[in-house]
Amino acid sequence: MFYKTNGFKLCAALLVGVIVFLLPRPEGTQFKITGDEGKILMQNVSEHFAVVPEGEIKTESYILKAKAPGSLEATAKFLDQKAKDLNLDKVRVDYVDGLSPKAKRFLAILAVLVILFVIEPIPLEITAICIGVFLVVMQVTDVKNAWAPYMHPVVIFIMCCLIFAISLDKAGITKRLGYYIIKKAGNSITRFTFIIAIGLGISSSFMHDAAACAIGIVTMLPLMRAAGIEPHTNTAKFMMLSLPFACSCGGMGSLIGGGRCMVSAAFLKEFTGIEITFFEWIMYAMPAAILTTPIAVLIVYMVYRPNLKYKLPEFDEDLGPMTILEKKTLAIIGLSFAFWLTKGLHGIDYSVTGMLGVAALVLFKVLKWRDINDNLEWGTALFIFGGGISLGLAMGYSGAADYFANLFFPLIQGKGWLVLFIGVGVFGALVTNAMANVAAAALILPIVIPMAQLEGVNPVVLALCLGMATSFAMLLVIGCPPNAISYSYRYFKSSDLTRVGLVATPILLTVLVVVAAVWWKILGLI
Amino acid sequence: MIKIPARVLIVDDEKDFVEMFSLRLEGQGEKVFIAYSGKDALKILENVAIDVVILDIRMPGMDGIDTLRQIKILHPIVEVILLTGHGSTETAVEGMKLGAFDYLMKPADFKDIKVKMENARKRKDEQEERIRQAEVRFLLRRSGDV
Repeated sequence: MFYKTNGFKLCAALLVGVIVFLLPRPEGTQFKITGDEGKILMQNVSEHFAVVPEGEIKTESYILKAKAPGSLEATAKFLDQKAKDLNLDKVRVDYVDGLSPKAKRFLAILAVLVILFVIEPIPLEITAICIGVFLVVMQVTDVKNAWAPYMHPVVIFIMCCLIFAISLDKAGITKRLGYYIIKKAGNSITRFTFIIAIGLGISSSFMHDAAACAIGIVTMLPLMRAAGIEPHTNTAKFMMLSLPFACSCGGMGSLIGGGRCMVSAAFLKEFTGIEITFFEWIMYAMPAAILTTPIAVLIVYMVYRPNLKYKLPEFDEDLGPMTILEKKTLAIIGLSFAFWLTKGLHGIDYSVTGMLGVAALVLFKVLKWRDINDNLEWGTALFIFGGGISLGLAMGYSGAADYFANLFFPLIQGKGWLVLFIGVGVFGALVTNAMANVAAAALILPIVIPMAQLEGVNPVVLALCLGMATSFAMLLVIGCPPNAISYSYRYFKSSDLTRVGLVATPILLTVLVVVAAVWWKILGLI
Repeated sequence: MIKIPARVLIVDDEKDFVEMFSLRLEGQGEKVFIAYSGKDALKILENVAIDVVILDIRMPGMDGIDTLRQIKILHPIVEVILLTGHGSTETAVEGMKLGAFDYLMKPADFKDIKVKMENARKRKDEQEERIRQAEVRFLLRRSGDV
């Protein structure tokens, strides 16, 4: 059918963009004036505008409210022109409750991109590159600003972590970890699954969650096959679903547990200047990871009760003592971790110390450039992550995020942190199933951070919340890499994952709220 | 090494041979399924994830080659080892061109059977792993996460 062709989908996406572009633009009634030190502009436009709230102006900026909304004078353009006529070069006029032309152009781009991301007529990576292209073509920003986020420090940091995962895998440390845990696990199905899932889940805090999940399945599967556990039985579903869920939950424990954590921290820093350090993230998030990992396994256990008649055979493979290669790898990665943990002392960015570690890995012959080149997911790391960050930042500087923040703010006004937290958590956990985590973060954080500031809530809470809630991508097989890896063995149907995900997502989000209400309260975040 | 039982389907109308053969395979720790005709074999294949089929070429009704054709259409990844009597080597070659993994002369030495079966099973495992990896790549790209 013609409507199934990629050309048609592409045209449809562009058409939606054009429609958004042609929609009437809300001018709003309030404008923020910055840099008008002598209040000259204010006095000159007092015929059409009044200052709100009335009274003394304390800060260097003030807000003007139009007296006759809809008139020719009640526009930002008029104020801009007036400032120019008065030779006030420093004055900047920003929209408060209206949408600037630039923000509207951005929204047209966003509409096209969201459709391209969801129905995928062109590869995701190309869509992600188009973010930079559209931003320049539609004059939302200049060339440099559009492309620079593709090499944002967080993108380099993510690459470091992926390269570390490659080296751990190549040196055989991932395998050793899998063997180590599996040997402790015994041969009762329930005990075995709980131990391996929780062990690898907590490990996922400090290593690539997909790598942890993959090694768990690869070591577990021969035992399952030997014990005669058939695909699509409850026992198989319990074992194969526990692992990805545990690894997803564990991933929130530290900044490098997953791109989602780094991206949330990066957006927080870009929009507010507040930094969550490596150490702080562990302090805030680790208790939640330690709690949710076993709870996730328990939920899978409750939904798919395993048949206890199966006994797993003894795991008899031994890797022997650690090789020099393994020791070298561990030493280098351990040193990088030490640098990350002590960033507060030396102040060198993670991407720099991380890449130093990568250089050391190649220098000490743990990795060859070929290994990195062939195994790194360049497209995802560079384009999808970089593009997502570019998109999120553009949402901020175009003014679109502020417009939505002002639009949605009345919904949460005066209700405190909890409503914002739950809103972000639920929305984040749902959106991340259908979209890349970074896209979810790019769409949500720029809007909710200003809302938090208006409400007087610490924005750190929301950045943490989003990074952690997007770990619960448990509704779809394509929600996150561990799900996809586990599903590829075809021991369960995709609907089996959705079924247990529907139970797990609300429970785990509740646990997250409890951790925030208790632990973060003790730490003084809220 | 942990012994992972292979699921073997023996298809032959000679009941004595089938019974003796299945006992030995079971003694090796494999999981054995039995069919006395091509039609029965296809029925079992529909319900059980068989790894290797050991298929006699000469059977009444649907003969070995026809059964092989059907197996390769319906379950292309399942490996088939043909059993031939004297004078039917040509048919065995034809069978291998149709996708059978290898053939064995009857009466076959059990050691031979074991080696060929293990190789057939290995090829199936490798093929399945390649399919799985291709699928993982596709799914991971869809998720757009690292």
